[in-house]
Amino acid sequence: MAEDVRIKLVIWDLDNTLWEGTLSEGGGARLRPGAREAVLELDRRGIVQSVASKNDPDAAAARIRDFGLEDYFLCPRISWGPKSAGVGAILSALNIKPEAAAFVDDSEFERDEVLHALPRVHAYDGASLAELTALPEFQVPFITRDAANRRGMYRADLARQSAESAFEGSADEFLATLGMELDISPVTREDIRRVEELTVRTHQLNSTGYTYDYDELTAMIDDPGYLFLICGLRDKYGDSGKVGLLLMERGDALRIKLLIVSCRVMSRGIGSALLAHATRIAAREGKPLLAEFFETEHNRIMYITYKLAGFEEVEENGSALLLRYASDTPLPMPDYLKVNESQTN
Amino acid sequence: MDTRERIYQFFVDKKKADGLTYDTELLKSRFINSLFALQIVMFVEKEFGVKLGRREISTENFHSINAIAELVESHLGGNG
Repeated sequence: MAEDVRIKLVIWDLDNTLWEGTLSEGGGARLRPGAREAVLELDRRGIVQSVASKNDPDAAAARIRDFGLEDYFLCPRISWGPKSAGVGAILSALNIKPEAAAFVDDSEFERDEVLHALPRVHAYDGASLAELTALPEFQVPFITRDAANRRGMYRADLARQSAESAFEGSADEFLATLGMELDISPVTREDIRRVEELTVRTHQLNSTGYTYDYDELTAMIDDPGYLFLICGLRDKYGDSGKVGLLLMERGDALRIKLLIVSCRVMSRGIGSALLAHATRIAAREGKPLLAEFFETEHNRIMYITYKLAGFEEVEENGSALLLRYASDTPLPMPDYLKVNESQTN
Repeated sequence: MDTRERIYQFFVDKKKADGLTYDTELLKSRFINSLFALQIVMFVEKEFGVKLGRREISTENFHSINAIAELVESHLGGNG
């Protein structure tokens, strides 16, 4: 298996995988050895879980509840239809790529059926569940507070998605119903792991892709030559955790080195709010605002955000650009979210 | 439909056409925020089958429906 495989989602079969025997034939009285431990351990690591099973949906859901595991499985797909359809539906509901998903099923036929439709999914027979969770691709480098809450965040995302699809009106009007609050504060030492996670995991909404090691990040917290901000997002569906970063170098100008927004909160206007915040700080300090941009094959969306917000190229060196905010007036804050700013360093 | 009408229809579909004209200043009004900016760039590329270069994504080219239509037509040889 390739080294860079990192599983974010585990989709379980039920009969003879999660529990012993076949439910429709009177089985399913006991979980398989190690099953509960595996589910709890994956959850602790921030790996989300679901179920794709051929079973009667009501009977299977009831049995999952009997075992007290119903909260651990997001959007389970239990039906007599092909499992590839169930797995595909789960991936799209959770917005997780097939290469970051594991499918665990004792049946070779079912694994092949899923792999035929979704060849990039990783399939496992789950013969030993203790061994499964010990595999390298199921490890996480460290467990942040955001990772531990990930299941709740995905659940809130699902609730938000279903409200959005039922909503009649523009995207802004929908966002205004969420009651979003963005808490912007200076990065602290407790945030460093999450900062690292955001810089490494975020590709699309990442203006430069710069990464810094732990010591460099820590040093910037205390250095008055930098303004290093992190933002958390809450709305009526729950707490999305720390979702954005803004790192600016202070000189004759303020120079944005990092602008990162977690893809999990894409399309909620967080990038433009952070950018508006940066223009306000620059106005407050009476300095021009510059932004470094490094073009990759994934981050065009960030370039468009800068350009249509009124940034213009001042230097261009292949993929490396320097942009300048070309107005004296700060950008307006999107009116569908409330910004709480705590003491900046 | 001509180019402008097709672009206007996009605003209608997104329920953002109230009071909108071909000349309305898009970027300084409630019509385009950055979310919508991304959508309009992607819409233009898909609807008209053009690929916009880095330089073409600018406030000048997106300041009104007329400006966007001109940009599109410059790609299509001016025949809309």
